[in-house]
Amino acid sequence: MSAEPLLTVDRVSVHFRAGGNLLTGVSLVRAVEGVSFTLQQGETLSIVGESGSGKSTLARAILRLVPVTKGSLHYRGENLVTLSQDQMRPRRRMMQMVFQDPIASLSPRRTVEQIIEEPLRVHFPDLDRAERAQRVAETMDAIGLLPDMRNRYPHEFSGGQAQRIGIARALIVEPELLVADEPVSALDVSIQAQVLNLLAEIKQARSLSLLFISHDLSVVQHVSDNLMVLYLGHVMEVGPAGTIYSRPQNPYTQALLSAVPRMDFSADRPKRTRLTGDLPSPTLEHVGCPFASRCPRAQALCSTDKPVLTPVDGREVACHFPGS
Amino acid sequence: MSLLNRTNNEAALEAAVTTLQSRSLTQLAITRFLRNRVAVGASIVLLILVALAVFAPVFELLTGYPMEFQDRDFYSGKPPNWEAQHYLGTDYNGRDILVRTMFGMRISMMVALVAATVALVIGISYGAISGLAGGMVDTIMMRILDLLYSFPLTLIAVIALAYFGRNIMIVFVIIGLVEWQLMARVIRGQVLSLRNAEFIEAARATGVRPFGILVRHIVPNVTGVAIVYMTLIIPEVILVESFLGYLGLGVQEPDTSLGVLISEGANAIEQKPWMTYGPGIFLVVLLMALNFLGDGLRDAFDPKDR
Ligand SMILES: Nc1ncnc2c1ncn2[C@@H]1O[C@H](COP(=O)(O)OP(=O)(O)O)[C@@H](O)[C@H]1O
Ligand SMILES: [Mg+2]
Repeated sequence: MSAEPLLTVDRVSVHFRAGGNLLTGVSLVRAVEGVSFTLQQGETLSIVGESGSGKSTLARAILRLVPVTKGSLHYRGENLVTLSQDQMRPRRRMMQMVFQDPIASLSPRRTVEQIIEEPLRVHFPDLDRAERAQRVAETMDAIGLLPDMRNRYPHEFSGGQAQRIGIARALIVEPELLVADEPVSALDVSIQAQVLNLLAEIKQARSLSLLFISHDLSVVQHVSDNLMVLYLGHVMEVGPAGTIYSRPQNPYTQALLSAVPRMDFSADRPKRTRLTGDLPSPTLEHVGCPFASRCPRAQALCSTDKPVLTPVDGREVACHFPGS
Repeated sequence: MSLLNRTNNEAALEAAVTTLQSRSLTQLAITRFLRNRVAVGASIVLLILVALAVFAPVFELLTGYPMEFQDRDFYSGKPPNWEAQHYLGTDYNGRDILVRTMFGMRISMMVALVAATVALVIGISYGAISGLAGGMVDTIMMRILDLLYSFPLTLIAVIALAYFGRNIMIVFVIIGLVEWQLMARVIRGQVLSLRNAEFIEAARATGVRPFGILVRHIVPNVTGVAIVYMTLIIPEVILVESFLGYLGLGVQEPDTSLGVLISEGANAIEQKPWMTYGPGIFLVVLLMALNFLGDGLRDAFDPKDR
């Protein structure tokens, strides 16, 4: 763990200009606000938060698919933010992504083989047809796709199979880092476990580092080493997954966790905290804690001072009044 | 051993079934199209019309009247006369209207094809660039389109024809230059919605260059729509050409087009109505066939039906 981290994200913000007509003017969506974390090689970090909390935007920012407004991203010590897209291209082999909507993430008029081999064409242009076909066949086999699926089109597959195709496409260039943005959210519950197990297996077998994004804490429970909770683009709590699961300190984490069905009937099990109200507009700039408007524990201080991440009980929490 | 054989057979069967089921979206579109009787009927009619136009010279042989031949006995426009083999009558110069209609249809179709191709190429490039570039470039390119739209393009066509002379190629190109705008708008709309599609993002994430994204992921997804709009543009082109013909700016004598023929007939619609019947009916049938074909194609390619 003392080695240089694979990925260091330092105070990254991503703002979008949104809407904006003559009357309202341009408003700024603060999708990600000053997020910092590190990811060690071989580690799985899960990023959780309600829909709209900026998880996908953070993932896209790390892969330089959306412009980073502030902050830096160091991959193996190299700052990605200052690279041009051309300089970024060769580095993309190392960091591949799996998407939320498995079918929509596959080009509808290309065959499975064409889809899976595309990253090879980008990163290994010297391979000939037969070599590419060989690599595609090996990868499909490793992911549990049948050879005769090669010439079929995405719309012929179920969500689970389509997601396997997406995973095969990501793995064919043997990346070090896999960013999985809600890879099972669109799947039937019965299929979710299969795909999660597949991800866990290949992570083990290929010693991948994994950024695993989900809005559902029960999904990440079994795959994560570390856990990061996002709310309106802010990190609310980050640390070892087990620690956070058993003793959440931030009221927002507690609210998320209490939505997870668990087999825990002991007397000291966490009390249920319900999230009430809607997510506030992401265009607001927060002077205080972004969660203050919905927090059961909020006090005057919370709406005037923004809490910073502070070590508490083996993890870091951004809360003026942490506690379980 | 028999058990082993059975599983082998079953596997083979399964493989065969999956190959059968494995149909691309294009194949699905074709299947859907073939199930649409009106559209299939329209394509057959269209094929017949194209054949008639291509083999227009055959009518010169059948009737015995060359396209430019002026029949002295049938001067100043005579009604249909089957014995003389003027099946649709003659025009003012005693020329056979059936033969001229076939040659006119040939020119109309050529104008339509060339102009629609010009519109297709310019429209797709302009629309795709605008949609892909986005932001300021997109805004400026769309403003230019708005500007062009507010121009009286037919007037420009008239001026250009006057300036460059009445060359048929110029008619082709000018109409194409007018008609590409709709195509550009439609393609841009498609590209805009494709641009944020997850599969495009997946391609970007893996490092596919913008040109590769355009060629491998965008173009295959807009060709269906482009074909549909091409069949909708063609009737438009034929109408514009007819209008130019009506103004006396279309193709030049002795060549003719459906529009020119109709405008000649329209001048004498009360005394000599047969002069418009032939070209009029062929124009209407041609336009209708194209429209039904376009509708059928649009339904077949409808992305909502995926
Ligand atoms: N390209 C964009 N332009 C404007 N706003 C965006 C864009 N992408 C995301 N957002 C906004 O940023 C916020 C975070 O979105 P997202 O990262 O998709 O959240 P999550 O993945 O956690 O559901 C949302 O309010 C969303 O509307
Ligand atoms: Mg998301």
